[in-house]
Amino acid sequence: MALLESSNLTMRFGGLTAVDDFNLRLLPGELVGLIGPNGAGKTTVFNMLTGRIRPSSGSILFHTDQQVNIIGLKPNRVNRLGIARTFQNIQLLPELSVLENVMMAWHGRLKSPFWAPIFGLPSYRREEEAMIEGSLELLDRVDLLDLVDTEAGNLAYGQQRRLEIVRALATRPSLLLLDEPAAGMNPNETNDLMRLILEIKQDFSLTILLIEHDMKFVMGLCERLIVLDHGVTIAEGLPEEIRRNEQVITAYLGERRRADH
Amino acid sequence: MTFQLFLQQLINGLGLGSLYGLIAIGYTMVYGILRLINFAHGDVMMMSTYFAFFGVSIFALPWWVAALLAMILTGLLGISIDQGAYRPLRRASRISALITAIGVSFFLENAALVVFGSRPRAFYRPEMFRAIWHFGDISLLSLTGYTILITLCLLVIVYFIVYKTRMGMAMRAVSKDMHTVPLMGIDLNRVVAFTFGLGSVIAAVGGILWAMKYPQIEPLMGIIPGLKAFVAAVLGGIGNVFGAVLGGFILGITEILLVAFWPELSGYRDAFAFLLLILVLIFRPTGIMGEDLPE
Amino acid sequence: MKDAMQYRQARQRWSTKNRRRNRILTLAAVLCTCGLLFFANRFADEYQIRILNMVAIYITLAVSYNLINGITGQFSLEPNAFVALGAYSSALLTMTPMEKGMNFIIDPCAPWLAQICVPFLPAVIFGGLMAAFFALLMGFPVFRVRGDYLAIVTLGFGEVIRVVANNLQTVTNGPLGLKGIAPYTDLWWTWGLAFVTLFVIIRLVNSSYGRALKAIRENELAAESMGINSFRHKLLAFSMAAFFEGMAGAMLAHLITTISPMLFTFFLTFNLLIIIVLGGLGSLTGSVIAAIAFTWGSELLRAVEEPTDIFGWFTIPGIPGMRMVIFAVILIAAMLFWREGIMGRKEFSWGWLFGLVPGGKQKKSV
Repeated sequence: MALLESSNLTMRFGGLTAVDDFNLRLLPGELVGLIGPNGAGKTTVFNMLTGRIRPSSGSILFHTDQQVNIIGLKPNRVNRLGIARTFQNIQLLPELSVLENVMMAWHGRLKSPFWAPIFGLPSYRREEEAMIEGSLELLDRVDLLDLVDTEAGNLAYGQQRRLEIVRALATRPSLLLLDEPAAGMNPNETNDLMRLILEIKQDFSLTILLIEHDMKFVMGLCERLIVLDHGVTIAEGLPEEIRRNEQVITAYLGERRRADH
Repeated sequence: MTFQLFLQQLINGLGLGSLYGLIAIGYTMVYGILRLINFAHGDVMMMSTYFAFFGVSIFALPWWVAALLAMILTGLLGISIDQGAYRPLRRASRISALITAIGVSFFLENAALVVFGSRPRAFYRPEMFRAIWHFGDISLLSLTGYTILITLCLLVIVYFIVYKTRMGMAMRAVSKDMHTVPLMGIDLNRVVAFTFGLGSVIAAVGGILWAMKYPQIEPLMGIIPGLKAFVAAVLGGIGNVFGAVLGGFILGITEILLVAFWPELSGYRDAFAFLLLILVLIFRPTGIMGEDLPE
Repeated sequence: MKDAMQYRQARQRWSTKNRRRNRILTLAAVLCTCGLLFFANRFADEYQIRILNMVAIYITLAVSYNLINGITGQFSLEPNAFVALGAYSSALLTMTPMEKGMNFIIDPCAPWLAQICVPFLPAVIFGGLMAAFFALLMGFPVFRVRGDYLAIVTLGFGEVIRVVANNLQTVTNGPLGLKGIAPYTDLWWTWGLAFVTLFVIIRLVNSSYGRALKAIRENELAAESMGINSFRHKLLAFSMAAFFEGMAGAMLAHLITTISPMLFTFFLTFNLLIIIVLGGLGSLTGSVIAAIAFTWGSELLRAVEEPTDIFGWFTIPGIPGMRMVIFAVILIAAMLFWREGIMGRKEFSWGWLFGLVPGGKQKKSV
């Protein structure tokens, strides 16, 4: 039984095929990396898996034993099913506090109706307490406890990245999609991040799919890699296999050559 | 209702729809590239009629010179509204630009009330637009015929500009993705200014024809046509100039036929466009010819 | 994990202590206002009482309007439509069959309506519910598709209300409007509604729902990806705003006692837009302050429309309509140069006030 299975996933924008025939099978507890040069369609895959965009064709099943179809669901529904994500360009709410940013991720699960807080019903107050407590615990894990009342926009870059991960965790996902979590981090921060990812994967029994450019990071962390180039899957396998794969090397060299120009 | 009468109403509807379409072109182009509902557009059209009116009545210009001058002045007005009021807010939140737009609209209306007075003014209808054309049993005011012809001609010109010129290519590129355009070496600001200018000039044509049709003008005359033209733009598919004119035609024809079939509903005529807008949003949010614009 | 526990406990002790203090202070402030109203009721002249009533109605309207525009960030131009809806609904409900007979002189009142007569409070609530109902009807298609059509749809709806009020002779009495509506509204009603509106909307905004609304305003993409159903929350904010606007309309009808389709023009909405922009989009405190200032200020601005005598030497002729031009300029200038407004997105809190007093201890606000 797979946690998530996509078959023949294709996304066309106008005449351009951003992702072509993408097949993915994630087993529970896996940590898989999705790599490839810029513009290969990695984020488009994430957007399809989270309901942000509707694929042109193909299917996505979540919990293959229960056959939960994700195609056509809105992002908030997909999130409620248990798929959470972070973004390549950080998408926090800069004017709200760190604590509020995490608490917001609880809202989708809130049981109290809107009039409960207006009348100050105890049921709502209990939920709010649980929200605060849970958020503080999560923030403690990523060393942001001292900054709970800071505006999220004022955090350092690495802190913002961690806050985004925590916020995703607060929605209680079973599958976590991380879009370039290490981008812009220094080697120390990257090492901490690797440790953090392994830790939360263990503690929250997560399955993780991540996009990353930092090869050391990917090779050191992921159990399995999928390589995309121009929307096409060109290789799939263990990190060592990918490292030696001719096609992958060409794709990356091609990019470097493009970048040199 | 006889078939002749039906044809007669159909042509009247096309005439009215042309006017909606001409105003809608400006709405749809601006929304297409900036995602901004330019609330002031209807009032810009109103201003064009006053330009033409004063050209004829005060400066005693021949009507076509006054009309041309009014078109140019209206184009400049459109550009200066964009540069003065909207441009500083390009990077601000979308709600800021919308609030400013409604402010500009309210300003034009009330400044016109103060300066021009609230009394409606009779608008000059030139000789060539007064003739009655006869086609069998159908008789037609030449103005209506010219209105439809002018609309179709302008549509061809706009098509040429949007699809065959460099500027048009830039406009379409901006409407797809505003942020990558500066990377392509296109001056975003010039594209936007051009769009406002073009839209305003076409609205001026619509406004002058509108004024000749009724034939009177007043400072609040732009509000209802403006609202309806926006409905036409949404109906045709926002961002698409053909859609705008098509939406205008459909709106004009259904409005005229509705009143022709159910005269007792004529009081609700202005509410009908709104109902149509809601129906479009429910059943075909992208409009007839529209594609899904990225937010 | 121990850290978080300790932290939370300390935090909670601090916040419960403050919450109790704040509650007492808020109650005291409300009682003070009530005292002032009591005196105003006895000693103020008719004109002053009228202004005080208008201040309260404007507070109600501005705070609800800010809920959808400022807190949720969905640009809407609805108030005049919902005020009209609430005004007509409640006025028609409170009129006795005899009063209706005297009003409907061209066409008789529709039979299903003619015999209805209910007390003031249910009529006011019904006015609010009517507005909320139409808000749901409009919000449903709009929020499903594109939020930015909301402005044009609500603007159009205002026109529709006017058209219907003019044409539905047997229900609204057409262009003649309704005269002799019972003058139930007094300071207690208007200020009572203002307090209830403030209470409800502040509680909502400070709850998890308020966080969701702000999240939608700041970053809808992120909000939806975190499981927030933006469609339902926009509908909630819009219909709640409509509910209070409808009730404010009911108050207005029973305050001025004569309503007609011409009364509820876009000018009302425009005034409110200026209020929430100057107060700060997203700040309820700002809306209250600006509503008070604006109601007084616009009374003063009437001067520009009347001839002004300067020391008896010469007279500047008043320019009718100039006030609206000035309002438009104020709004545009505020958007271009002063987008923050008075309060930005900040809110008044007792903790902040204590921070101002030297020696008053001020920790992180919760």
